[in-house]
Amino acid sequence: MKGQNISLRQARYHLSIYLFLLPCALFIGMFAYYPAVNGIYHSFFQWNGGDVDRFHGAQSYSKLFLADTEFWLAFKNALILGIANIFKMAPSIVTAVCLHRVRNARLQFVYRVAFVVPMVIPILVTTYLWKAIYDPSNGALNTILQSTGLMKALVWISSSAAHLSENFDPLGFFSWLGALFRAGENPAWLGTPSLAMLALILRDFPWVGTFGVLVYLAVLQSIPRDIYEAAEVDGAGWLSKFRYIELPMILRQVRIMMILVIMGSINDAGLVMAMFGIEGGPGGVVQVPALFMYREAFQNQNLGYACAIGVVMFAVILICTKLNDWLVKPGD
Amino acid sequence: MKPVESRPTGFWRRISERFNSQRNANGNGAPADDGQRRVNRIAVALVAGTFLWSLSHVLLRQRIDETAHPVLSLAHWQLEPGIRTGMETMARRYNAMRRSRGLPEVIFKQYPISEKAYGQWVTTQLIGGTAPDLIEMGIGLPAATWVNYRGRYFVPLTQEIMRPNPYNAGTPLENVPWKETFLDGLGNPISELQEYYDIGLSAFGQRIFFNQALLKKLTAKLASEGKIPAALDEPPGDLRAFLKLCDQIMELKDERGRNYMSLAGSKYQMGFMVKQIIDPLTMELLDKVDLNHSADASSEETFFAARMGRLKFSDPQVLRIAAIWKEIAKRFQPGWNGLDRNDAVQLFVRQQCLFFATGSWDASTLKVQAESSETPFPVGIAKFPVISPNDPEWGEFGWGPTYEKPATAFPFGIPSQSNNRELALDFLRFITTRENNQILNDEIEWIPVIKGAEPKPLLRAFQPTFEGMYRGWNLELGSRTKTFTDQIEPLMEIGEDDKGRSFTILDWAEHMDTEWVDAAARDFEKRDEDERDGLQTKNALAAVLRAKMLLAAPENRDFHTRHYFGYASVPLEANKNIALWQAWLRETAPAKKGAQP
Repeated sequence: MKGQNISLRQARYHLSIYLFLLPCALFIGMFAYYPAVNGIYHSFFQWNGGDVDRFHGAQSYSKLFLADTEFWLAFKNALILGIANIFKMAPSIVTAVCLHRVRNARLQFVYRVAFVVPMVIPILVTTYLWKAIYDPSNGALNTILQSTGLMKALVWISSSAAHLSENFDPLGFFSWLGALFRAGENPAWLGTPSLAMLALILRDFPWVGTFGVLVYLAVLQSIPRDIYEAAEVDGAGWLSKFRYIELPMILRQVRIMMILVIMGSINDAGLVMAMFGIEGGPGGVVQVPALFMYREAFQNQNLGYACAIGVVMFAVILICTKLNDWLVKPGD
Repeated sequence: MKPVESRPTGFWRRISERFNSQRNANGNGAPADDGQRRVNRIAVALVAGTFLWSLSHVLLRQRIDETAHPVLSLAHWQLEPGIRTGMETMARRYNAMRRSRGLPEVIFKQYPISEKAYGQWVTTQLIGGTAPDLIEMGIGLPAATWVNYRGRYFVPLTQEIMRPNPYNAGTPLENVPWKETFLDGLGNPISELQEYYDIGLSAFGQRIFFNQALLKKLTAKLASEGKIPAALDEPPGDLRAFLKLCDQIMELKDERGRNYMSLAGSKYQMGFMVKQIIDPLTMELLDKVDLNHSADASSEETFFAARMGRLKFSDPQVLRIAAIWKEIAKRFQPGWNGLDRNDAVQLFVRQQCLFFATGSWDASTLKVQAESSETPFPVGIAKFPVISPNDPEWGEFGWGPTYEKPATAFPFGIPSQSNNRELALDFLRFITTRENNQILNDEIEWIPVIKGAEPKPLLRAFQPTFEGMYRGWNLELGSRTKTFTDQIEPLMEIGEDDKGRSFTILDWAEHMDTEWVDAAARDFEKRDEDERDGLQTKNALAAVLRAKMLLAAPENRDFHTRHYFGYASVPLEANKNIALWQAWLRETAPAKKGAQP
């Protein structure tokens, strides 16, 4: 519905309705905007969250930009995770399209329910489940890899990469790959520094994000049947239908999901903390900006500095979102 | 949209009509009919009724309970069943005592809260004014926050603990100040507040737990193969022999063809191994680190010693210690450093691992788990192995066992908002008599904390060793050094970095000599700031204690005089620390570019 401009006199007439919105606006102000503004304010202070609150200008920002290499290393990790997470969106798009194309309404309903049920499981529970899957001695992943013979293939790939790295090693990729899997050893997914990031990326395999599937499916189901019929008359195959009908329709949702994925990659500290501990894994190899901020705030009691980190994270997310808007343009 | 004329029929009716007219205009629905209105009213009545019932329940709950009997509530984070039943036993004994004295019985309420939520729970209860009468202290919040909470929300017990415990009348502890009846004399007061706030009920220690049946079985097999002279009933006390046994066990296979693991490990377990075996090996470093000759290596001194170059992690002696450290890490199961404490417990209980390092607090739980497992097995407890002076390689560190400081744990404090402060204090006095403390700890299978009370046979292995080596460094100056060591140590222990390249002990030493010192400098800066920020409070407290001394009634003057003079040195000590640290900072400052040597 298109908005309509009304005069102040008319607005006064609807005062009671605006009054109903007031509590909601107050709560948003109190719990969303006030802490954010307070965070920006305190980023200019040396603040321990309690009695120490000294103004020290932009010192936190200058330290962050000029001296704190750890913070930017955390952003590098977030970038790797963000790129991986964007690729991990593909299975949910494919799943949504497949679900959409299920002809039998009852079967489609069963599938939809099957996808909704995992949403009920808290993320922390699935995280601990994945920790158990990654257990080197009794975990399901190593058991599957060993029993299917896939481990031998991985060891072969690793040893080949190690050989290759002796002569050709762009960015140290082959030497990294060469050290991942060794014959006769169960990989310690969460305990080996070179495997930790891979373990974080592989988590939730096959990456059929339930929420994404439902969002895409909702849009796909709004496509009128006659468009498909017309396409079929024109001789469109399943791929053409996806390319010319379905993908353009869900591109707006893909863009939204990408924004959420980028925000999650930068903002999510809980997942890394639950899997690897507050230090961000062995050698801090999976440290992300939010974890760095959390540690500064609640371990180092340096809340003013943590506020500055939060402000920078906000700015980075804003830039990423704008870039995303610019790069991914949904058709009308 | 056409505005509807307002009628003077009341605010709510006007709103309702306006919404209905809008819904009609938008075609979104029709105004509610009588039936709908009735349903709505029933729903509103239901919600309002439920709310009023809840409100009255909350408001009256305390009053109803307290009409007949006083209520004593206590909160702790010990979810193991033994602790709850132990406290219930104490409650029953306390009520029996009260009955015998013609006093009304007490209703006990226990709130066992999960460890992970404990800090938040306590904070909410204290701020909300709904805290129980006794609260276990010390977990879930930073140590500094607990100090703040003690000062703000808890009753100081200093005066009470200086007086004898009345329940000790007729026992050898009669007339002994309550404080002195504890094994460690309750240690020192909270240094920032110079008051005692909590009473510990148990003591803790750390040891190596082992599967007795499996040890016997596996060592018998090794003996039959001629690898060891005879089957063992307990692990070797010599570190080299212990590590060799671990290697031999790791070569044996179970019924399913899997290799046995020797040490069940996680970061949690490794912490005990480092504390008990590795840290004491650094005792000789005390000569270089103990700058104020107090026979103790503080974290500040370790930092300054490293900054001055007196302590270098790349020194051959430190490298040899790190090599032993790495040897121990090799005996843990693969991937141990990515696992949690409970994962290691599972390996031990499933009999996949033979040894398991943990504290006395786990003894009873492990015993129960072992006894109730598919194939029950007896749990043995042994001291950590030590290096023999005759060891061909490590003999230089063969100085004997590790010194263990006795310390009270399982501490409870009384919130000042409690309506039953006297009763709570009385209960604490009651359960810290020698007899009751022994009964309580026998039931929860922890170590009693009152002089003369004996631990159960299983826990005798935890009796502290009063003579032995102690550490010559302290690497944890603050949160930054802790994070750094937590990150760097696994790389050294595993022997590789994130690119899969080898990470040697020398690499570790190099990182420690540079990055640890940087992290320590930042931690030190914070500690120095905190000390300065706290000065004002310390001075103010000294002034208050002085005023209390001067204004005290004659019968209390002696206590307040001792208290003031006991505290007067605290702000002076803080000033001295700041001055000393600044002097050390100046002495150890890196030379400026172009300056003459």
